[in-house]
This record gives sequence, structure tokens and C-alpha cells, in this order.
Amino acid sequence: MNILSLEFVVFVLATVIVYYIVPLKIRWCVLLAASGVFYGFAGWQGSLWLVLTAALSYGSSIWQHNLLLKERAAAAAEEAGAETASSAPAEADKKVCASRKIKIYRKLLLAASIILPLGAMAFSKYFDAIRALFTSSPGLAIIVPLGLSYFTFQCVGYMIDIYRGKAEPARNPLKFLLFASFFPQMTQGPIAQYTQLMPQLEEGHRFDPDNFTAGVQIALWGLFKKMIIADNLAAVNSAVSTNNRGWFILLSVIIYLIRLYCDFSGGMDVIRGAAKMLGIDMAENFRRPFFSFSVAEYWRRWHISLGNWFRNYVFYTITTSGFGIWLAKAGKKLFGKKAGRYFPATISTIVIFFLIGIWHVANLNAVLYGLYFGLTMGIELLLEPAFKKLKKKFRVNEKNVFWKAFTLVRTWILVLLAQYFAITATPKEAFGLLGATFRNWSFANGWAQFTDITYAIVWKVAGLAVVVLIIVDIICERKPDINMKLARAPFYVRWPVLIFLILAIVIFGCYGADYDATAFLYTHF
Amino acid sequence: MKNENYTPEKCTDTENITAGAASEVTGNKPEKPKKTREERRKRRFWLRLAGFIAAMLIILTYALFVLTPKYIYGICSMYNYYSVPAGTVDVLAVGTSLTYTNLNTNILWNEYGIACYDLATAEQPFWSTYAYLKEALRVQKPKLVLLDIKAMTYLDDKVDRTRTVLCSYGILNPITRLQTIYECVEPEDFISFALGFPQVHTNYYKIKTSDFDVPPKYGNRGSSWKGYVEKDETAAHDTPNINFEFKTPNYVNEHEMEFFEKILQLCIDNDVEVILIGYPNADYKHDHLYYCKAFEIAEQYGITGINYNLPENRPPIDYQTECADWQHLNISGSVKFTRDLGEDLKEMYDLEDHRGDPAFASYDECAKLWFDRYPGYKTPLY
Repeated sequence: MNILSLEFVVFVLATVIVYYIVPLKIRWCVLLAASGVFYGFAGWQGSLWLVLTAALSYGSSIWQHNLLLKERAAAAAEEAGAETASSAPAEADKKVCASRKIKIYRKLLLAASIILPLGAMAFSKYFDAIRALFTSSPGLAIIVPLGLSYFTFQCVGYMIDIYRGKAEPARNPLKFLLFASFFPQMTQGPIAQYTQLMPQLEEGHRFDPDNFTAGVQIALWGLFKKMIIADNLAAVNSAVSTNNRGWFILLSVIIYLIRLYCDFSGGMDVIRGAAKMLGIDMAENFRRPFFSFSVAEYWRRWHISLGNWFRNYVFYTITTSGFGIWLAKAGKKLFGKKAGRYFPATISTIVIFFLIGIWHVANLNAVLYGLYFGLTMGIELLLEPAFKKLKKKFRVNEKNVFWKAFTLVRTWILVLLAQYFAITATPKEAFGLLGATFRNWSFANGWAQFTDITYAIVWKVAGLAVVVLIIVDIICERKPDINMKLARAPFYVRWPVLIFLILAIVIFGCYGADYDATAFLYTHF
Repeated sequence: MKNENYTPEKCTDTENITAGAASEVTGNKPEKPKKTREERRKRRFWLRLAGFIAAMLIILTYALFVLTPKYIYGICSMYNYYSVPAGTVDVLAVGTSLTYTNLNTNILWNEYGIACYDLATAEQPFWSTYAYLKEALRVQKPKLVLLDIKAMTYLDDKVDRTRTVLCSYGILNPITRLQTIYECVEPEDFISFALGFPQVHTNYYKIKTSDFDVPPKYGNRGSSWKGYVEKDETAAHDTPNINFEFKTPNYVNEHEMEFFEKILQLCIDNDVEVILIGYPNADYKHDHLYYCKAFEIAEQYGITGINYNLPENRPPIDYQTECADWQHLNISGSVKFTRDLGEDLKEMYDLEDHRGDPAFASYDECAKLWFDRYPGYKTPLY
């Protein structure tokens, strides 16, 4: 079921009605049933995969938690034993061994329980791509279940949280299944944390008009971004080539980035809106990334839940491990005391972005895309002490408008460079397009470049919508809770906004005959 | 029992409960618990939501009207039909483009005083005709229906022309409109056509200021227009040869047959006389077998008709100069044909001459407008 379809609208409204009609205690059952129906539309194979992953996570987390309790008990006994160690050293050694053994068991259990789902995910996503490197024979064409990455990452994150003792394991397997399969997040995420989402799912909510209105508003805004901006701009990407003029290639890359943002964040807003109508706050996945003053900030604002997941479960794992400590020592030797401190973080960042790159798609461009961001941020980290010195020396005021404008443009340029790898299929094409950007900057008959691709009116509509987007994003940047304020505003303020959004979507949105509603850039992850 | 210290601001759920309980003890009629602020807020929300939905429906209906192409045939003739004064349509002609191009309502009025309205769409299948007729009979009570049988030759089960389906948007009765759409399109396209926007929203860049006019301008034919759409061009054709050896076609579309019979039954049920009309067209040789089949079925209902393509019925049309294209007559051809039809109708049915009747003034106005544009066809009879 596509989240842009009429079926989805009807499905969400039906779920909302049933959700608020049934008693508070069993409202989570409505969510589970709705998730089952939603996922059922995607095929039984995917549902089976999801249930197996959830069952594995549920079982292993209970086992893990029991082991953790045993380890804690053993550790407590060790502490007590240590005090009497002088009287019976052999007995104390035995107890120390017991707690260490449990820790090793726990590690092995965690490794086994996360390798299985992650391995299955990697196999389904990358097997055909890797095979294609060596042979031209057709691959296995494995059916990748809907939202595979999202539910796998959620389950793996949950198991790591249990391992770390940061969360209590779910006691009710059906409730855990709901956490793993909550329908709004199945198409595009976000990757929710168990401690953040689960309490909201099992709580059950009373109907709140403000929440409902805010949910409708977010969803409409999402549709505006996706159907009017992203889809109207879609034609430009297939048209761009090295034969185009330099300025047009650059503009196409900018348009691609805007389109990507509107496509992904638009879909996310529809999802968040649907959840908000049910009283559930889903993690924000985009926080106006184009207002970032550094690449690192850009990635803290872009696909936030993915970044958080990698930071929580990969970055910290690397930096706090024995390998991380070794890296710190090596860094200090190589770059000196100050810069060396950042070395483990630098290496972890590069690793994370390499993984994020291949998570997007299994090809060389994705690897380069990830490594580019990893290296950019890694270098930024390593050079931070030097930058601080320079800023101090030249008395740079970071609150100065010109400095802010400079850093903003710098971030834009760095981010845009990466898009050359996203917009093309091979590194050769990417570098070719990058080179062509600096050639032939003739503006003669420039408008024809656009009208050759699609109607002038489509460009005008998309352009106006982008202006609306910029204005709204500026307002949201200054007042992040504008949505809730609008939901509580008098109807004569709210209605015109809603009517404008609905009419704009209905008239200028891309849908209907010949429109491929499944063409989300960020599905099938 | 009223609490004298009660103030609305201080009212809480607990107070309401205690007030109720106290009245139970004293035996007085229990007071209805006062609504809490939260309940009032929710009530206000539902009222506003209902108001918003109503407002949005009105806005969207108008937006759909603006975006829908105002084809002069079909959609416009249906819109306009609603504005014809009640009880002023004696003859209703329904069917395909052959109806609205060949049957010149102005000639019928001018020369015979017959009040006729052309309610037809290009390539209209019988299931659409059925819906149009159903809606038309709801609004007016004509004495006679002229049923164009061209649709009997259509072999496709569904209409793959968006234009034909969109014409049904002129039907104001939502149920009839949905039934028409349901019959016209494949099931997977039904929602899209029923909502309308998925089909017409991309027309936003073609919108003209005239698209905002309610009712539409009907191609500057005025609101008294009676559905006739002239074709002012000429294409030379030969008089069609007909093979009279065969009378039954190899295949007839069952769906068309079903609705053809439904139309006949609908007229019988509504006590309206119906006759089949075979409009003259240059391409008739391909249609003959189907027309025969239609007459054969109609006979079972005791219904007859006139096929103007048969040599004995042919109007004095010069196919070399009085055809607009391979199917339709041009103005001159339509005038000649309509005169023939008028004669036949006068002879066969007791149709009143309404000329000079103030209730039928719209026909005068329509004819005047048309003859002002085409004065060469005006006869001294008027």
C-alpha cells in the first residue's frame, strides 16, 4: 500500500476511528492489527521475514536479560568475594571466572542474534550486486521485504540496548511485534528506538483534537513537498548529461538535492502525520538540513534516525572498544596530543559513512559517496584544533552574518559535490559530469534547456512551491513548534492554510493517470 | 438542586458527580452533569471539522468543474438541459455525435414548431445514453425519445476515451453519474474517474477565464441553446452501398445490447414513446447489420423506428457536398435531413406546434441566434 494512495488515506482514517473507539487498554492491538493489514499488502514472504526477525529479537533479548541479571549477581558476589579474597583466594578466582564467562556468553549471544538478521539483510540487498561483479548470469532476484532495513535496525538496536542494560526486555511478544512492525515507519523509517517508541505504542491515547489537526497538517505538508516539488522536478535528473551546459548541470544537481529532500522528508511527514493522528510522536528525521553550517551538522539534520542509529550502535561501539583505545594511542603518536584525541572519532566517522553509503545502494558510487562524507567530516574533526586557533588569530566572530553565510555556502558546496555520485551510476560518469560543470557557461536561449525537458508551467509551479518551502522552513527554523501552534490557532487562521494546501496538492500535485506513485526515492531500503 | 456558589470556571467533573449524587439522596430529579471544558472543546472540534469538510467539498466541487474540459457536446448539453424550462421538451434526441450534428433543433422548431433537445455525446455507448436518459426523464417529461442506434456498432466493452467518460460529469445526480462511470470504465479506473481530479487536474495550465463561468458559455450559443452542434465543413463521399443479403452481424457487444434493451424498458416504464433513428452517414455500409439487429430487438418491445440510410427513407442529401466528414452531415446536410425527420414526426406523432407560445420562448431565442449566424438556412416559414 503506497503512502500516497487513496487506499492509505482511507486505511489511516479507518485505523484512527477504530483506535479511538476501542477501550484504552487494547488500543495497541488496533495498531498491531493495522500493521498486520498494512504489511500483508506487501506479501506474505515479507511478513514472515518480519515475524522471524521479531521472534529472534524477542527471544534473544529475554535470554540476554537473564544472563545480564546473572552477570550482575555474579559481579556482586565477586565484589563480596574480593573482600574475603585474602582468606580464600582460590574461591574468589572461581567467582571472577563465572562473571567473565557470562559476559563472554552475552557477547556471543548478542553477536549471534545480530549477525543473523543483519547477515540476512546484507545477503538480500547485496548478493546480486556482488555476484554481478564476477558474472553476467542472472542473479537470484531475492524479494526484499518492505522496510527491511528499518525493522532490522530497530530490532538490532533493541538487542544492543538490552545487552547494554539500557532497556528492559519486552514481556509481551505481540507488543514487541508491534514495535518491530508499526505500519507508518515501514516504508521510509524513521528507525525508532525501543525506549522512545514502545511506551507510546502500548500507552494508548485519548483523542486529542490538537494532535489530530497537527497530524493532518504535517501529512498535508508532506504531500505538498512530495507531490508538487519532488515529483514535478523529477524529470530533470533523467535529462542531465555531460552534453548540457555547465550552469545547467550545476542547477540540475541542486534540483536533485532539493528533490531528494522533498521526496524523502515529504514521505516522512506523511508518516509522522499519520502517527500523530494516533497520538504517537515519531522521531523527526529531517530538521531543515539546508540551514547547516557544517557537513557534520548537515548529517545531524539529514536522516537523523539513521545517523543516530549508527552513532549509538556503531560509532560508540568502535570508539569505546579496545580497538578504539588503540586508535587513540596511535592518533596521539601520529598527530600529536590535541588532534590525536579525535583520531578514533575520525576513523569511526569514516567507517560509519562508508556503511551509510553502501546502505543506500550496492554500487561503487555509493561507496564513494559515503567515503567522501566520512573523509570530509574526519578531516574536519582532525583539523578542528587548527581551525580554532586560526579563528582566534583572525578574530572570527561566529555569530557574524557574513561568517554564517560563508559557512552555509561552504556546506552547500561540499554537500553538492557528493550529489554528483548520487545522480550518476558510475564514478566515471560522476567525474565526467563534475568536469562538464566547469565548461560552456553560455546562457543564450537558457530557458529552452528547461522547456525541452518538461512544460514551462511545471517549472513555474515547482519554482513557486520551492519558494513556499523556503519560507516555511525559515519560519520553522525560528519557531520549531509552528505546527502545533497552527493546530491550536483560531479556525480563520488555520482553515485558509489547510484549504491552500489541499487545493495545491489536488491541482498541482503529480498523481493520476501515467503517474508512478511507487516512485519514492527512499523506498526498498 | 442548584449550588449557589457554582461558577462555570470552577466547575469540575467531581462537582458534577457530587451534585448528581446529592440529588439522588434528596430524591429530587438528578441534574444533568455539566459538560467539562474538555468535552466542550471536543464538541467544538467536531462541529468545526464538519464545517471544514462541507466547505472543502464545495470548493473542491467548484475546482473540479473549473478543471473539467467543457466539451460543447455531452457535458455542456447536459449542464444546459437543466436550465430548460420544465415541460418544454417535447422531443428528446439521445445518442452519439450523429445526433447532435445531424438533428438541427432550430429547423425542427422554425419549420414545424417541434420543441426538441439534442442530449448526446461523441461516441456515446448505450450505457451512457441510458444514464443520460434516466437523468433527463427525472428532470423533464418529453413526449417522444429519438434513440440513435449508432452505438449498436460499438464492439469494445469499455470506453477507452477519457473524453466520453468526462462528459458524464455534466450529470448532477451523483448516483446516476457514478453508475455511468462504473459502466464506462474498467474497475481499477473507477475511483480515479469517480473522484475526477486524477483525470482532470493536469488541465490547470489550459484553464481560461471562461472556465470559471457557471454555467459554461456553451461555445457562445447562449443559455437557450438546444444541443445542436453544427459542422461547417465539407468532405466529399459517395452514397453508401448496402449489402442487403446479410441481416445479422457475427458479433454484437452484449454490454451494448443489454443497455439498449434497458433504454427501451426505461422509456416504457416512464410512459414515454421511443423510436429508433438511423441517422444518415456516409460510412453506413459497415453499420447496416447492426442497425438491423437493433430494429429486430426493438420489435420485440413493440417499438419501431426510421433508418434514414435505407434507400426508401434517404433524405435528399448530396453525399458529395453535404457531408462534414465520413460520419457526420454538414449544416446543409443536417438541414435537409431535419426537414425530412420533421415531416415524418409530424405525420407519425401528434406533436404540438408551440411556436408563439411564451413558455417556449427559449426555442425562439435559440433559433434566432442560430439563424443570425447562418441566415442562408432561414426559411419564410418562420
